[in-house]
Amino acid sequence: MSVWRRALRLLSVDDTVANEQFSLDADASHHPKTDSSDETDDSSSAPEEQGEKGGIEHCDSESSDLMESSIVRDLHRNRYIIEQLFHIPTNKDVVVREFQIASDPPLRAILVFVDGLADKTIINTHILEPLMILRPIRPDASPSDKLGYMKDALVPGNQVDVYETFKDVVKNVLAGSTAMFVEGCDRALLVETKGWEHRTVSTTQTESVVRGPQDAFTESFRANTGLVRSKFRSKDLVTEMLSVGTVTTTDVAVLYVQGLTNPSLVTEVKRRIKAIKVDYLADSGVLEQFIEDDPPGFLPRIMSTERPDRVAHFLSEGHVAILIGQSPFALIAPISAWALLHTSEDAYLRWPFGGMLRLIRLISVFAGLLLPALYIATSNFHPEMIPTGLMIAIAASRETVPFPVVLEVVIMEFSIELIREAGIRIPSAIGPTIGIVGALILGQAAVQAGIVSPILVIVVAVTALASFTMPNYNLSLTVRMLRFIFLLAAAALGFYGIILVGMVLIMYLARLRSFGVPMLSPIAPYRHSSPDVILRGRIGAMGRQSPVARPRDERRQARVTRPWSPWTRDSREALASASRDRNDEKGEDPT
Amino acid sequence: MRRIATGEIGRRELLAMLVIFSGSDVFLSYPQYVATIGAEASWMIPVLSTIILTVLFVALWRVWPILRENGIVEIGLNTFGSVIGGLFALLYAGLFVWKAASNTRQFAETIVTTVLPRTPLSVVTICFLLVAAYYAHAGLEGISRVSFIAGPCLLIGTVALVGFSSTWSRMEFLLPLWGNGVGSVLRGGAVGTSSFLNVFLMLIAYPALQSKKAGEMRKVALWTILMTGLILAGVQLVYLTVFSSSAADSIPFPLYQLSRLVYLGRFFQRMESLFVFFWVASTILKVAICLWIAAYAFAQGFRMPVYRPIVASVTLLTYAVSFAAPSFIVALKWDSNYIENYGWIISIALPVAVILVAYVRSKSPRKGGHRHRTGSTRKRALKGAV
Repeated sequence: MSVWRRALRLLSVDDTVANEQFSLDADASHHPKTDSSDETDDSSSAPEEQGEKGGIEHCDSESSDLMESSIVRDLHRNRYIIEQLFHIPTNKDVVVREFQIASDPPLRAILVFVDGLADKTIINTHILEPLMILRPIRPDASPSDKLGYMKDALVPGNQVDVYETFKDVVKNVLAGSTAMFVEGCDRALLVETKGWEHRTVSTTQTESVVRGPQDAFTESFRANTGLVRSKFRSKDLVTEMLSVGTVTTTDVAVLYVQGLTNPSLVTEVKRRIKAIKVDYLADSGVLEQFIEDDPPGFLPRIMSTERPDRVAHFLSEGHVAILIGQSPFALIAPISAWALLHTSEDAYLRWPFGGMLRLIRLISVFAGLLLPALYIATSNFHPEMIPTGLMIAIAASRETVPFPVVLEVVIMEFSIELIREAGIRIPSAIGPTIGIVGALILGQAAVQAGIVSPILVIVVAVTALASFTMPNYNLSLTVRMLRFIFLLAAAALGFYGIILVGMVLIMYLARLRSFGVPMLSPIAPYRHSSPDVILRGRIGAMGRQSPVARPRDERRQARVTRPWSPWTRDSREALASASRDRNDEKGEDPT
Repeated sequence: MRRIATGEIGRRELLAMLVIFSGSDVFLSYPQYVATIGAEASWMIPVLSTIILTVLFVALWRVWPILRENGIVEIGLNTFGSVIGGLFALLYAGLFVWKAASNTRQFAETIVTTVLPRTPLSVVTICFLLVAAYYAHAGLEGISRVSFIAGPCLLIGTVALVGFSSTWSRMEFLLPLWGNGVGSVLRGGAVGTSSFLNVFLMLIAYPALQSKKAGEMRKVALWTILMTGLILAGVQLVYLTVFSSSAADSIPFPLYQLSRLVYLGRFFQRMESLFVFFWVASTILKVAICLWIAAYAFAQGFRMPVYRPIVASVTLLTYAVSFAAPSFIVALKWDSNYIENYGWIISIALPVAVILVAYVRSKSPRKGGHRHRTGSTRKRALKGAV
């Protein structure tokens, strides 16, 4: 195409010219179109393309046929199918190792594993060494007997299974197992050899506490389930496994306590997970969006946590926990909006301290949402509220500022958001620089330049601090976004605007559900529960189970938990409890 | 007649919603209205209204359980047929559209006069009605939950406001004890039952109550009447002792004026802007409930399966009606002359009559039926009638 024609196309707002270099469409050809004269060539080559596309479809259907096919006795055929399925030799990280099993005559076999997923030491010492060197196989046994003998006596892996279809073989190989095909045998031996690299259990990154366990989930699925089970040692803890994804599958574990968790909740969680039709499920954050209740919006309706102790605690209250593939975050469902303000530390501290921390967080939610909006409303619409001395101070500090209050606040809030986002993305080596830049630019230079008033710097700083106290990252993002809506409402209508938006927000919250449970429950709708919703009560008053997950057992501890204490020893309940205990010891009927 | 699904409401949520629905009148022109009628004795008017309604409630003690399955609109339709029953539904809807429009106008005028003097009245009204419509669209379940959360805040705010401003109280403002005379107090008490619109809401919302026990229903009814009466009388009492009766009957924004008097040292004064929070919240809930009742009654009267599609139309109608009065003074006059004086005919007398007729029909033998019924057949007849 000539330069003139290209220019003409650009001037005539034909933006296809921008796509000439490369276009990644669903049915894109390998070569980009160059000019209009190529259109005839394209049309002439259409059957060829169709043929190519047909070839791909044919290839796909052949691949799926191979997946569903059974293992055959011919080792060459099995190897061919494996190579087809794993795109060998193009694909370099799937290893096919051919060897001979010590027998007379030697028996040919192949091992299939993914380099990087399987532990090579286990393969060498637990599969190859015993089969090739240590012990011969009786020559007169049939191939299937030989396979059974190998499974029972020769391969000392802790999990060894026999499968008959390539679908099962591929699934297990991709999960880190090693498959062994033997000449003359129509089944494969799958030895558990998982051993990929992963981060070891380390301290929590986003839910730090002073008092309480410091370990957090990692990117290892089995390590995560193990962490939960180590905290919650119950025979009734059930871990159900599901798979999500069509192009590549991701393991999803649904954990619940049999007999305590509401069965309809478990069924609903599994139903929603099974309904996901997606090529690839990347992380818990994606799953969360697929299974959360309508309507879509700001507030999280499923809790994500990286703390195993928190998962254990929620399991003990009848919630369902979900662990996903290599995600270091577990999901908890259902949850209440109040739980988003809780930390595990609240329960580990004495109740006055736990309660105080929760109160601070609750106040900080309001501060994070409303402080800049209240500043705008007060200074623009309702200055009579401010005592005269303070009003004069604010007016004096704003004297040199050329912007209206709204613009001033928006600039500062935007700057804070920039610092926050940069602080996350910046390499850790130069992380402290952000603090210096932020403090100098926002705290000092902006004020000295007369762009913002010093009082506003205080308002924005307190707001930022308040939003940092959110124990849940999703909630923190929600507060950050809603703050701007409140800010605009205050700029338009003062207190009236703030309360209108506030009322909409409250109604939105009142209608939200998490797996069918109202998010403001157990406050609205009211359900009787232990004093563990807004503030934290004393430990002895926590007898009643949280009603959020509608568990099947309403009590979580005895009515009298300190019968030895003089404070409770003489009470009627303590005496009745002691009497029951004595009867139990004697084996008498308490009635 | 099948009832439109409204969800389920707990006892506490229903109680909070009912009390806010009528109790929020104290933030509007109610104190001024009763001061006009009763002067120094105007605080007795809500007390008398409470006594009248309590007596009426006790008199109808045995009748209440027929509201277990159906509300007052459905009972009207089932008892009087679709034409007369539908007419009743239209009357209910009309009353509540008018009430919503009147409250909206009063509220918007007060906002413009006091806190947003440079904002057009229509902007204030539209913003307010949009939020109220969202609430009405959310339905009874959502409104009752928000009421339960807002209830304690509103109660604390009102008590604080009344308590802080009571430092200006002078008890001699309550004398002469009978104000304009016993007659005007008695008339005001009877007519003042119009303000207890929560009684009507109760008749509609009862079937949504989670617990169908008659005892629960009666308990909620009794508490809502008593608590509303207490709030209205308490606020009126302080209002009268702070402003004399001659000033009280000419203040268009009674509680706003009361809040301007709050002075707790140099730092806590001129709290009227803070008071806007309580004021807006309670009025939104009140108008939203009015819109919901109007939409529900329209939908049920015309045998629609759902009410939500007409919430927008009812809101638009309310917006139009709210500007029918040429001025704020005329709007107040219409409210006191018509809604307050005659509203009780539609909100109290008509529903009671409908319930009584339905109850009598359910008890009396049908044509060709058996004179003596067993307990089970009587229950079936009762269910069929309602």
